[in-house]
This record gives sequence, C-alpha cells and structure tokens, in this order.
Amino acid sequence: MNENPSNYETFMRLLIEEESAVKAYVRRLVPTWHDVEEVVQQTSLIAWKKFDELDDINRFGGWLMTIARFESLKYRRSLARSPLVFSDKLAEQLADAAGSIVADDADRQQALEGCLQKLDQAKRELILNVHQPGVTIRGYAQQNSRPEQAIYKSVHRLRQKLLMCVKQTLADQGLS
Amino acid sequence: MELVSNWLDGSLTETESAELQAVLESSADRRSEFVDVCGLDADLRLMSDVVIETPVGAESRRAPAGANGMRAVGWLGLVAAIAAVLLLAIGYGIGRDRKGDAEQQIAASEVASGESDEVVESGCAVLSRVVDAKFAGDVQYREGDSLQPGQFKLLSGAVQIDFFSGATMLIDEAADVNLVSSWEAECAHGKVTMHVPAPAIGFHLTLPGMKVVDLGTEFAVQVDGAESSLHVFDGEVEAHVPGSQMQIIREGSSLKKSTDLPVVAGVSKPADFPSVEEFERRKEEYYQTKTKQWRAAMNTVRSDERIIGCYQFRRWEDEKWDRLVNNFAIPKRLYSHGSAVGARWVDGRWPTKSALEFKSPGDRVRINLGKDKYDGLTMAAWIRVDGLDRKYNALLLSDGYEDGEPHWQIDKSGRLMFSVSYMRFAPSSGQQFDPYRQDQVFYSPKVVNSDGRRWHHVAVTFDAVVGEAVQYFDGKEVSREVSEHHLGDRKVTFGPCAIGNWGLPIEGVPFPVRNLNGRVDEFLIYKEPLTGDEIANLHELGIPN
Repeated sequence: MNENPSNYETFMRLLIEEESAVKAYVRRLVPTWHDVEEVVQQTSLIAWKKFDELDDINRFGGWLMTIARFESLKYRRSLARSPLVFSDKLAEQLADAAGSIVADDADRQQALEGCLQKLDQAKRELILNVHQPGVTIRGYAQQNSRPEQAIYKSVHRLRQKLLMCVKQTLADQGLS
Repeated sequence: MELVSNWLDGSLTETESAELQAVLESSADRRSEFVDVCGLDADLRLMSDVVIETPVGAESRRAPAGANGMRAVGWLGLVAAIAAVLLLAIGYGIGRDRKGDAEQQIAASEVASGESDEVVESGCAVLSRVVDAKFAGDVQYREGDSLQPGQFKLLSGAVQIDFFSGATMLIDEAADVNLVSSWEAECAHGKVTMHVPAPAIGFHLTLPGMKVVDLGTEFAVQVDGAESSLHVFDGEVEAHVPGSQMQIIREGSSLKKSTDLPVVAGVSKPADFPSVEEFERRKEEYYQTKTKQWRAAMNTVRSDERIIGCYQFRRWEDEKWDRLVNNFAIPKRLYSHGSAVGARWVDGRWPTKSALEFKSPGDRVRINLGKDKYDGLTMAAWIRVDGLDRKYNALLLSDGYEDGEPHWQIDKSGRLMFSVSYMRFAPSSGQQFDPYRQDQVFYSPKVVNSDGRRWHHVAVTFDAVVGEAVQYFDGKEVSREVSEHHLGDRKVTFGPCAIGNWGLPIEGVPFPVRNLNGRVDEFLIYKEPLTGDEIANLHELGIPN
C-alpha cells in the first residue's frame, strides 16, 4: 500500500486525467452506466493498490486501461446470468475494437463541446437530457408526451452529427 | 438504432440484446461504430453530470456569448491545465500512444478557457428581516430573498428591505410599496421608515403628491388615502411638491400634504414609526414563541415509537465542549448522540433555533445507530444549501457502504439521490466468488437550489420489503420508484454514519470529497417508511415563518 502523500497527489491527478477515457472504454463492455461506475471505482482501487508497481507514469493510461479491461470482463462474469451480457467472444472483440476517434480526452471533449454549441438550444438540451443518469429515451418521450420513435430518431441523428463534427474538428486540428 | 440507444440507457430487453449482439458480431465496422457511440455516450454523460441547467429562478445566469446557456465545464479547465504535463493520448480507441504536441494542446486549451460562467442577479434589494409577516398574493417571501423591481405588498407583520444602493426601508403593518430600482421606491399606502447612509444619498421615495430625495438621513413617511406626510428624524431631505418650490426639511420637522390642500408643516415623532429597536424586540418575542411551539410539537415526534434518531441540533451554550448533538429520541438510545466535527454553531431556520454549518471538507456530525437491521427507514431533515460544490453533496452516508447501509446525498445538479448497498453473490457453479454490489440509486428530479439562505425540508422513505423509495421536497412527493434489483428478505442498517459528509471510506484510499456546503438544523431517522401525510406534517410543523 502506498503511504507517500505525494504519490496520492500524482495518482489522483493521473486518475482524474483518465476518468473519461476509462469510462468510455468500460462503457462498451458492461450493460448499464451504473455498471460502468462500479467497474471504474473498482479499477481505481486496484490501480491505487498497485500504483507502486508502475515503473513509468507515462504509461499510466495504457496500464489503467489494462486493469479496466480485466475488471470489466470479471464484472461481466459476475453478471453472467443477466440476459443483457454479450458473449465472451464479442466482449473481447469490443475490448479490442479501435473506433475511429483517437484523440486524448482534453482535445476530444473540447471538440465535443464546440460541436454541442453548434446545435440549437432545443437539440442540445435534448441530447444532454437523455444522457443524464437514470434517464431512458422511452421514459423521456413519455414524460414529455412526445412520440418515442421521433425521439429515437432525433437522438440517433444528433449522435451521428456530433460524431461527424468531433471527427472533423479533430481532423482540422491535425489531431485525429 | 433503437437497440444501441436502449443499450446506452440501460433499457435493453433480452430479445433486443440478442439482436444487437448478432449485429455487432456480424461486422467489424459495426463494432467500430458502436465503440464510437459508446465513447460519445460516456463523454455526454460526464458532461451532463455537470452541465445540467439549473431551473431559471434565483440562480438564473447570463448566457455566455455564443454559448446559449451552455456552461463552461469545470473539468475542462482542470484537464487542460495538466495536459502539458501528460502526453498520453487515449481516445475512444484503446490506449494507443500518440506523440502529442504539448504546445498545440496548450494552444487548443486556451480557446476553451475564455468562457464566462457568471451568475447574474436581477433584483434590486434583499429582504433582510422578516417578523411574523404575511404577504399579499401567492408569494411567501422569506428572510434573505432577493426582491425584484415591482409591487411589494405587506398585509401584516414587519419587514426590513435593504436596497442594493445601501438604503434601508422598514415597513410595519399593512403597506403597499413599489420597488422601482436600487435607488428608487414609491409608497402608495402605509408607514415606512427609511435609513439612508452616505453611499445611498440621492435615494428617491415617491408618495402621492410628493417626491422625497434623500440627502443622507433617517426619515419616515405615512400614506393614508389621499394624505401623505413626511417626518425627518435625522439629517435633511428635499421635498418636491408639484406646484410649489422644493423645500429642505430638517431634523425634527414634518410636512403634510392632502389632495387639493396646501402643505402643512409639523413636528415629527419617531415613536409613531417603525424602528430597528422595535423590530428587534418584536422579532425576539416572535421567535421565542415560535421555538416554544416547535419544541412542543417535537415532543410528539420524539416519542413516536418508530423514531431512532431525533437530532434537533440544540446547542448547549454553557458546555465548554459544544460538540454534542443530542439524540432526543425516546426511549433514549445509548451511545447514539452525535458529535460535531469541524462544523460551527450558527442560526438555524429562525434566529433562536441553532444549526450546524458545514463548510470545510472535514466538517461533519458523527453518529452511530448500531447494527440493528430494519425493514425500512425514513430520513427527514431541514437543510439550507449554500452551494452544490461537489459532484455529490452529503446528507447522510454510512461510513463504508456495506450491505444494507444507506447513502443519501444531493448531486451537483440538485437531484436528491438515495441508495442502499446490497451485495449479491455470483452463482456457486464456478470457482468465481465475486461479491458484487447490486443496488439502485433513486433520483428525484432537480429540486435543490442554492437559493439564497432558504431552508428546505427533504425526506426519503424506503421500504426494504418491496424495494420502494419515495423522496420528498418541502413536504411534497417528488419521486417514487421500486428498485429494479429488488429481492425479498432485504434489510437496512445504519452503523456508524456521518451527517453532512462521507465518514470513513475504505482505509488507506484517497476518498472523494463530498461535504455539504450549507446548514442542517434537524435530522430525523425512523426505522420504518412514513406515509406521505406524515412527511407533509413534519414539513408543516417545522416551516420557519
């Protein structure tokens, strides 16, 4: 166990830095956002316990992802009876899938923020509202007395639009 | 498209899951798209965690140019600040190193730091004292409220209004005043005393048939039907009466104006008008009565057979160590008194009611209700939230978060969130023996605001037998939900807990800061879920004014 207080600080700084990357990564491997929070919490605890063993803090991100991968797969097994868990094979494939956006958190989120601001207010509110914890599109549609299908379509279009916009922004900055 | 959406928000059904799986297995492109959408989802969730708009009201804010109410996100600054130190790059794709260009990152992050996130205030005055006041219309003002320009009608009682210019207005009994700006008001009916210190010289008060411009003084006006009078107690004022010359009225003099009659001079008597001293006396009297009534009402509450914690936040003045927060529940429970750590004693819902103020990350009240297990619980508290500074702001959290233990907090956006930890064990078929948590966080809608010194009643009831949690805000039900993970035979237990903070998380691990920024002056804990009527009643008997 780490006792050195400056280690705490370094660790916390690195962890905060990687928070959204690790969440984005775990997101594809476990069924709900709540599960994501659980796995990331567990990942952080393990990372802290093993932090001494990490030789080069420049490798922290990759190292943390390895732990997250292991913890996600382990957690999936604990949910094994859930009908929502994908097969091991698919989980492995998803864990390895690269995706087409590879930029660091700060750049990506900044790009995303810029893209959100390009949307008009109603659209921006819609997309942010349906991504709040506990909100489902179905529930959102009911609560706002809107047709479900219309919300699904709008959200889908907005996600596509945002992804395109993020990619384009990063490409323009030579960061993608 | 629906499949992915449902996966993302956790509402996927079994059939849909199989369908999605088939789609993803069929193509690497689909998987790549899926990974991108999952990454976007995570970013948006992290963002909507902090970006959520507060309802328009006391905290209305100016939209930064081009941002239309989008708030600059806190972590962006933090991440940008350390971006230069860390060149590790990870995107939605798995941890692939990128030879980052530090300068470019800094340049890019500077763009984002220019946005402003300033809260704006559109009022012109603050209601600084309220004594047993009744107001016309639906609005029930409370001490500390900001007042917007417009009509302010008092039916009875007394209030003090502090204008942003520095001028102070005392109103006693029925009065009808129009607040024009920080520098101007009109009195259409009633008795008003004005105190205008040097910084507010030039304050205008208009009466029917007369306009008073203050030159730094204390004066009073009375408007009764067509008759207006002005009385100067200290300093001097300019009186402008249409059709006659401006007059300077000095200390001890008065002026009377009735419709169609010339102005008459007279002698002013301060005793006829509201004064600060009289205010204080009445206020003290009122609140002493109020405290007595409240204590009497609490006697019924504390002897309820279901109550296990009745923390009234009573300060023992003569105690040298004033850290004791008594549990007044009857019968007495050994070792259940609370102990304040860090938190300061301050005024509670009303001046003669004490409260503890939580500000620093260490502030808390430690309590221990033992390891008894119950079929449910109720927690009800009077709180004043001064700011939602943390991602999670503690109300009551068990020290660890072990089987059956509750966590009750407010998230950054102002939603009440309640959960009970339940551990599940994996089936014993394999070698796996991985306990994992299977609890649900119950959220209310956004109800809590840091709205200028206002006290609110918050409550949650949980029935462990059926897994249902109901949350209340100011006596009204705001959410009701049954846990999706509900199983029979579950219990709740408290053990060592902290009010206003997260006590002792796991040893040796840096723990997140969750302290409340605000005050608590009553915290009740029951071993059963109370009914909605009972919660409404607890709210009713504790309303400050």
